[in-house]
Amino acid sequence: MRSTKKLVYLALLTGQSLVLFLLEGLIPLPFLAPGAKLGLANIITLIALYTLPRWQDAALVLFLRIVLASLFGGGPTILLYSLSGGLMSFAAMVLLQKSGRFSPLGISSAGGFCHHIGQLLAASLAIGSPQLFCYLPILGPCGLLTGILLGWTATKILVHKNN
Amino acid sequence: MKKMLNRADILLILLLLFISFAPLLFLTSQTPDRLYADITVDGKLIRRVALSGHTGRDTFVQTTAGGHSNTIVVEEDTIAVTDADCPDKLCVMQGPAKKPGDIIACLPHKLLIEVKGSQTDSGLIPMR
Repeated sequence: MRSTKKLVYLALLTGQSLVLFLLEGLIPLPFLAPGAKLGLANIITLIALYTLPRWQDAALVLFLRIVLASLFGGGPTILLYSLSGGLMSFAAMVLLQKSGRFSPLGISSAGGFCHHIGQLLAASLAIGSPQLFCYLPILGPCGLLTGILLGWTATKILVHKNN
Repeated sequence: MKKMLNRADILLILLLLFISFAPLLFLTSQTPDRLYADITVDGKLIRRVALSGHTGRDTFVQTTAGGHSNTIVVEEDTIAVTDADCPDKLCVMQGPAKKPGDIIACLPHKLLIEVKGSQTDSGLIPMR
């Protein structure tokens, strides 16, 4: 990809994921546990991972989205949790993609799961007690479920993009 | 594009689902490690009673303002007021307290029993 084209594509992806993030904030959802959410913006992270030649570019899209999203609504505490969750999730997804054994759906569900692992790790470090991992039996399956749904969506989009 | 969900995906999801429940083996419950009850009269801390690990039944009489008294019973890990010489006996009717945040109040005697935990309440941490 030429550099101008790539720049525009990256900006487009970042913009789309921001819109999804803000849209998600408008959807009322039942409160299950602290940190449980849909994570619609992760659709874009997946698409970025599968359409961009280098994972570093997808990481840039993710990082920009998290920083900008925390400016739109959140603050430093939210930024910390989003970053820890996002980076953990991204690392897991890149590694699983590199292994070449998994479909976007499996990778996405692992990403959703690891997002919660990252957040819980950060929060546990913040309060200095592993007690928060009591939420994992709720958050883990939640992350897997949303991951499967998002992975399914991303697969559909990728099929259309390739045609 | 390959199949939507292959065998490796299913194994991965099942493994992660299994890991989700692993903390249940290591972390017993969400209630704080140590529970205690603070007994205050007229805003002053009179006595601190450890509730966690408490077994059996202990009874003591707490004298309060104006020569009145409340009978306080600590049974297992709960605390209750079983008798008082106040007119309304609301403190007796409130029953036993055992969770952090539970309180028993006897307003005529300015007596307050608060159950507290020694750990931070995790519900206070904002996460999204």
